[in-house]
Amino acid sequence: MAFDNVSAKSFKVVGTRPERPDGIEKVTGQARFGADAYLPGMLHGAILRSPHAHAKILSIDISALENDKSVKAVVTRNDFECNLTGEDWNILENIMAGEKALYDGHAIAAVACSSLLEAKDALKKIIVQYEILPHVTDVEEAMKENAPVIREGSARSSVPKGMHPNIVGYHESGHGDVEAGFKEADLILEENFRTEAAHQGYIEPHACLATMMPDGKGEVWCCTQGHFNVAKVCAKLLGSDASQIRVTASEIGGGFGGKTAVFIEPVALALSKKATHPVKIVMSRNEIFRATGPTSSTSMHVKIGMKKNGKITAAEGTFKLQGGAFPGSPMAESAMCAFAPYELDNVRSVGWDVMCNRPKQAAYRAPGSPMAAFAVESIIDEFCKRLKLDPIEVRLINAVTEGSKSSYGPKFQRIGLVETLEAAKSHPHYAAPIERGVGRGISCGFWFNFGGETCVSLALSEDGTASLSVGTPDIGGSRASMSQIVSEELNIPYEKVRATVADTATLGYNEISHGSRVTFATGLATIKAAQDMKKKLCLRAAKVWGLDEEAVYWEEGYVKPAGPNAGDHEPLSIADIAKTMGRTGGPIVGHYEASPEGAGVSFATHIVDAKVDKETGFTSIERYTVIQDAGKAIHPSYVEGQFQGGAAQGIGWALNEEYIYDKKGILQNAGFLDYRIPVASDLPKIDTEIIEVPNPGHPYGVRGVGETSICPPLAAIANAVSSSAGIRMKQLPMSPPKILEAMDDNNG
Amino acid sequence: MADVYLWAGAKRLIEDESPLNISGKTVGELLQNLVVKYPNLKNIVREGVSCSVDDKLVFNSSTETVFENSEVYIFERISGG
Repeated sequence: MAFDNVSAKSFKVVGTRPERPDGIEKVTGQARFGADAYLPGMLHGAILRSPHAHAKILSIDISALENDKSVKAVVTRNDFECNLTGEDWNILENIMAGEKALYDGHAIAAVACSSLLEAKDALKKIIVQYEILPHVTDVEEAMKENAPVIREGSARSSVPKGMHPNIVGYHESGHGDVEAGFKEADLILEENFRTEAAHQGYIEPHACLATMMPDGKGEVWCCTQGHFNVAKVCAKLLGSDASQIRVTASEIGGGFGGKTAVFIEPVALALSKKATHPVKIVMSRNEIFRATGPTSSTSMHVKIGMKKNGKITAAEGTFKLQGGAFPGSPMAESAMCAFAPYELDNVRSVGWDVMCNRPKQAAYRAPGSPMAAFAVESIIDEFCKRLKLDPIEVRLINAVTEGSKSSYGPKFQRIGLVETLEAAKSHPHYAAPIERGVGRGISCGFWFNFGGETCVSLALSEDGTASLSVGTPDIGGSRASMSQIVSEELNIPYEKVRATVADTATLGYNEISHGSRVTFATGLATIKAAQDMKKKLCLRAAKVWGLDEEAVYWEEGYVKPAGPNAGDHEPLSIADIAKTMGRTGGPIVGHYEASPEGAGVSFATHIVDAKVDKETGFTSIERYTVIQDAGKAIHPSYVEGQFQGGAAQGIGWALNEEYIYDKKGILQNAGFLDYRIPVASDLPKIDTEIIEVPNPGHPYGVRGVGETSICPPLAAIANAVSSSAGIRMKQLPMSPPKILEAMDDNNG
Repeated sequence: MADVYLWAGAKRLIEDESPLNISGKTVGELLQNLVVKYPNLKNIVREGVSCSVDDKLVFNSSTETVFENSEVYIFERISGG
């Protein structure tokens, strides 16, 4: 039997909308999130944070805590490994400051006490002497010659020599002759754009419960997008072995990239090791805003040349992203995604990674791409207005298709951008009349999607049901999708499959749930594990019947003899084989371990109607439509949810969300009262349309869907707002004061 | 030998024009040979790169097959959220 190739093009279960397996637990409050774990003797940890944006730490005096019986443990940087390099050092430096506090909220020390109240009181007794240093929080300012230096020697080797030490990464890509292309243009437009840092805004705070014994064995319960990574990072920062730190991922109340990073788990383990008690840490919202990653803020310049018929002749962009006080902003992603939707003969993209006195940026859905799309798609919208061209037609004229050379180098394989644009053109939203005062915006967006290390195990139970263990935390409905895949492959009901996120001691290493990789990579691994199980079921039946492996075959959930010569055997169902497996050779388990590539890039097109109140500057989103290529939607309801979630977060990012720093570099809006994410009343019904252009790199054609949906909204909304307000908006967020200011400036 | 294209930020560290002709049956082998031929690229490769082989994006796997006439684009390692 050949199980290596899958040709399942017509599906029974995949593409349907069964009930979500975690639904009852979540609506009844039974689901256990990061902060829901308790252990006997548990202590509460709290972290002292810098009140300064940039300061030398002269001393940390904990003597007042030495005779305080409520304090069970205190840790500072000295309690962590001291010989780390590269990104390991960056992570440690971020979770516990060394010689300098690098941003407002940077961790300085931590304590563990019997109660949280005691822990907070204990923090007040720690005396830290600082020497305040000049700071910088703006990306352009940080690149200037006289800017305060965050840290020397952090630049990657791609950075040209002689640059300011705050410039730590440089990217350049493209092809053709940009200057020649501009000469061919009938119209050239160029503009500067800026976006502010936006937080991922997950409702569940970072939380963990950690136990570490003096022998280095540890246990962690935490909310994370990647518990295997938590184990790896904790082991490195504490000088332990990854196999000695067992991490269990809790249910997760949102991550969006922000929970790919590690912040509190090593601190809780270090406190636990000293106190010899379990230690729980739950971050407050204030701490989350000040010390966990928002996405980068940006300063961008884009120049595009276009013929009167809408054909782009050349495009050029510079994307400067600050990544907080550490290297790693997604400037290469900005530069590579910026022009990806368009087939360009002449294109050049430059990215700069810049350090500022802000928290270390963390991934946020398609990191780097939404901001770049904002700049590029705003210019394209302006062309359409000036040349009186239809915005979808212009995008169709320039759209990449299979075989087009991408702006970042290789040619595209099979992709669905044109299909999303055609669907947008024929969508009722696009045909609907635009009411007076309302602006309509269009934008395309692009994201790569990823594969990565993946390992699953599929175990058959004696009653013929199946248990799937995966190592990728479920951040978007993957347990449902994986159960559907098992059901599809094994021909057993969806309800007879249970998918569980296994702990780090149970499976091989699984990369973080990031990069829209889970349905692609874990899904592929699940298909392969089910195929492995089917092969083993066939072998078992052959053994029972006394036949060779080749004399049996799998069909519709049964193992059958391959022909008259194989004998007159009644086909065996999975349940038949499972019932006797203990006596016929033991447990039957399917496995798959690999690092699949070929994730398949994806595109989306969004249509937005927005209305700006010119008296107040308030923007209401009147109508929103998301059209995106999913490759193959395993569970369409979850896919639609991803589409809507990207649009909702994009609405917040475009209209209101921003990090506001004062002159001292202190964050002024570290809470949901002042950092305004959208609430239900801010959102219209978000319509969705799933396009399915199969990814050739996946047996079912799956593409990731979790990130592409946040790529177009900033631009689509900006285009709608600009149209309604009658002025091009070049800075995000487009909050009421900024819209009024822009209109005032425009009026002279 | 495969035709290898570097992103412009890395290309400026070497004198040769793209495409570079580099041998290697896998991505890992090709990157090793690239660094042997162009030592200036050692740090860039060590810091992390992704690539495409014959238009298939390869973000992590060093065992991905490279053919004699493959077209390989190398760019900085990228990651998602």
